[in-house]
Amino acid sequence: MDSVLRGLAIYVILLLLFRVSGRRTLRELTPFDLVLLLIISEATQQALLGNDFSIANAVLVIITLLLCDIGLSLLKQRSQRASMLLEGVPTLLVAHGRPLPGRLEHARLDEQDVLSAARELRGLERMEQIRFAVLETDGQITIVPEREPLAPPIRAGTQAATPPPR
Amino acid sequence: MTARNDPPSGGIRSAAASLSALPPDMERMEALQGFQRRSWVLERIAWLGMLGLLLVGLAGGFGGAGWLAGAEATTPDGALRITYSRVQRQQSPTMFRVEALRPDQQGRLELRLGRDLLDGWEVQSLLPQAAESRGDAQGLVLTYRLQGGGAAPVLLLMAQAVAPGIVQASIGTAEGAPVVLRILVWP
Repeated sequence: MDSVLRGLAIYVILLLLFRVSGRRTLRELTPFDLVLLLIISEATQQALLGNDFSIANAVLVIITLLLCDIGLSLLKQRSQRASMLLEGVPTLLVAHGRPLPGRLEHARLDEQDVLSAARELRGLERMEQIRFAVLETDGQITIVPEREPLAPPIRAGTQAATPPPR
Repeated sequence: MTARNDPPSGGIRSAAASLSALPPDMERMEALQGFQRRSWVLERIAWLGMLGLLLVGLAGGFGGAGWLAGAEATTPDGALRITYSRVQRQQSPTMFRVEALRPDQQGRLELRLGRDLLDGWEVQSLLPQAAESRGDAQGLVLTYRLQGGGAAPVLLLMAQAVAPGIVQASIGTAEGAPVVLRILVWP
């Protein structure tokens, strides 16, 4: 029973903490973010298993966590309210080339973050080229360009696609 | 809140205009922005709550070091002074420091660990080791021959709490009334 309760408690606590820390937290996964995630998982592992390192305990904890996840996904599927509460809602950050500063600030973003996403995803250079920028529930910024999307940017070490011979 | 979501002066009209001409999908998304604003407010409150928890942790509210955690108690007969942590964590080692203030002329002390302490804590070590020990209905009696050399001899009891909650622990001498420690154990 102890293992199941521990698993439930840790799942709920992690869910709440990551929900309130904002959807952009640890989204970028810089090397430091990666180290932070590993530290968090290490701290969590101690609390989950306690002093019991048996296979039975590990299996029980894993099953608890997976069932929690399945249960929540079913809940989100059936209830839009639950989905909104658990994941938040997409947020418009740029409309017709105009950034919305209050929203950017609340989402802990700035125009450079939007432009960076625009460059990376759509090869856009200027704010005016962005029709809509949306902060999705998973923390990713999606870009809808004002005009036809440009070819994806050429990354270092790759070759540009050549047109087929006529 | 609403004012902070508006762009700064100069861009208000244009941003408002850009928001007024949205395709249906974006309109639907915009209809949920009230929820999003409330989420942001809740997020900020939660951050303050997390900061509060951090400060409580620094003050010892979750055990370990800190002025909230440290405590001292003396038995009613004044024979023992116990320094302990009034806030502890389950399965985390903690120390009860027992000072024998009034051993008898031969330096003999009979220390009684109450049943509540033996039930609520897993005793890991007790230093120095007792010369004799016996169990009775009220707990465990440990007999010491102490040599304080002027200062009050000290006994160190290392233990870890078994279950969370507000747990009592009785410590005293075999003859006198024990002091009952009320300890908060976090899960």
